[in-house]
Amino acid sequence: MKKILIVDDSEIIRQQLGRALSEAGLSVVEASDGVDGLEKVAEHDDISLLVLDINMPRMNGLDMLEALKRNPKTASLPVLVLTTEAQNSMVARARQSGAKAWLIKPVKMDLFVNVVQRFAA
Amino acid sequence: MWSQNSDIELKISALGASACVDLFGAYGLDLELGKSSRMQSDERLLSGSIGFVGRRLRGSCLLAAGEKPLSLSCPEQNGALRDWVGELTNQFVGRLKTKLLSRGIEVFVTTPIVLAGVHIEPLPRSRMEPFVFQSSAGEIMAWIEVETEEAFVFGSEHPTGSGLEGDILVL
Repeated sequence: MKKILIVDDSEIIRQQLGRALSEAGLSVVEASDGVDGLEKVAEHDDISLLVLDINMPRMNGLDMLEALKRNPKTASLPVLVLTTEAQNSMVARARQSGAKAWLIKPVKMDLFVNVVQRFAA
Repeated sequence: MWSQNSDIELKISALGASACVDLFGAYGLDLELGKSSRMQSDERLLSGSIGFVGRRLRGSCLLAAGEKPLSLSCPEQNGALRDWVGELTNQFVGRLKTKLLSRGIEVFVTTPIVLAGVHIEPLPRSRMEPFVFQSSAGEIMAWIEVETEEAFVFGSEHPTGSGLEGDILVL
């Protein structure tokens, strides 16, 4: 079963996404910010894909994404950004760091699950 | 020097009001603009506030509602409303940001703070009053205060090539 890490500071968003992914037969791990997310990546070496929010306390999503890409062990991990942000400069930064897609909240759950399944390694 | 320009505040507040209606509509709650700028409810309200800053523009947004409209709009049954009002405020400001971007105005936001209380009443510095919306589940208030530098320009709307809510951009 593929394992997806959801990194979002909103518990409700994590629950909503996690439920949709679980119903689609995927395993889910949650983290509440970028620092927690990096710890979860280190704990679970079988994560297939990350779903990453941008505006979070302690460490934001773009900083976490760049930290993942600097580490050879995690550089190839597929990342989907799911955020309220739509600024071209942020999207460009995520693209440069290897993110696979940028999803703007709120996204329909069936579309979200399709995109996750498409990119999960 | 920073100041409050009522014409600019009016334009940005109108964008905010539209963002609020769109936001709750996306979560299944239709809003109509009420006649009063004060909430009439005696119930406990939850409120989220986020600051934003850009070139020659800065301000704050506040969203407040009772538990019923928050519960009805929440995608998870029995979800923590403290968490949900923070996320809704985040998405509210996200939508405002997108509308500002299409007018050539880029802003960056803070993380939300959340408070609860009865009779939460904004005390505006300017003449711009909050918007109070009516819904089938009760009242919702949105309030934006901004100040600008003299050289700030509120441009006309133009396509930016950036995405909109619900979009998926494959990188």
